[in-house]
Amino acid sequence: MDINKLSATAGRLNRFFKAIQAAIIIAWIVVICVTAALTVQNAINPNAMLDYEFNNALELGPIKLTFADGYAPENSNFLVYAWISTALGSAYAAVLYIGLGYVRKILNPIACGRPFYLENALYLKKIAVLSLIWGVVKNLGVVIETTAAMRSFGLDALRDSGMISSVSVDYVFSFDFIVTFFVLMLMSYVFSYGAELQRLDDETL
Amino acid sequence: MAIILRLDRVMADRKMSLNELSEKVGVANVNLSKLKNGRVSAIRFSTLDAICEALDCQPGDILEYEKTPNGGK
Repeated sequence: MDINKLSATAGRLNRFFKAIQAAIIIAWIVVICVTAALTVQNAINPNAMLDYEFNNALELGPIKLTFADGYAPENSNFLVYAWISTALGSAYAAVLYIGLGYVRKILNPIACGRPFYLENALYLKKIAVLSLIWGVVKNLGVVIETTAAMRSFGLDALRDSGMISSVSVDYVFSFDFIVTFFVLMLMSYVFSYGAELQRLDDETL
Repeated sequence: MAIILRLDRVMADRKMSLNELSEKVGVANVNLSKLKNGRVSAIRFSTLDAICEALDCQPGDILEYEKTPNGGK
């Protein structure tokens, strides 16, 4: 294996993930600012409608809505949903940001030409645990977002009142994260063994 | 460890300094110092071969087994 090529690739990946981390932070700040601005706008003028084009149809995660003519949700309801979505987005962003941080810590020694460190095995274990957290947060997030949308937009009442013609909720739970967890744990054990071999090689003259 | 390196003794017999041996063997004197003080886990045949060549000795002159009470652990 060409160790110089591996080091160069690891260095490039490290810089790429650093850029993604910066993008996550910027996107998170923008989303928080936009949601806060909408909240302030709503506080100043509660009757003002948000600039949102419904076109009689709306998709909120797994929910597909078809509105009756002339219907639009109230500002305050829309804002509750916006803040819940922002909180969920922040949770996803936090997990992704921390995960990328661990990946970069693994890439650092690889960029220096020595991939097998015991710390790398530990970071892989941490990423495996993060993948579990990610899966749980993602699946729970779908349920929370859907419930929040139903409550915020008063869809149950709408459906009963005949204001909307149809509501459909399609929950799609993903369990890929369990496979990812086991693969990462396996890789962690491989790295532990690699670190032991590296130590023996270092101590052999 | 049950295996003891007697490199310092053979070097003293041959009146050879660490730097001189380092040059002849092609191993950094820092690493040779580690070898001399027994701070290594293993030694390659190629390194042993080079040391024996440089010191004009047998591997048995450098390596010595010493029985320890707990079985060498």
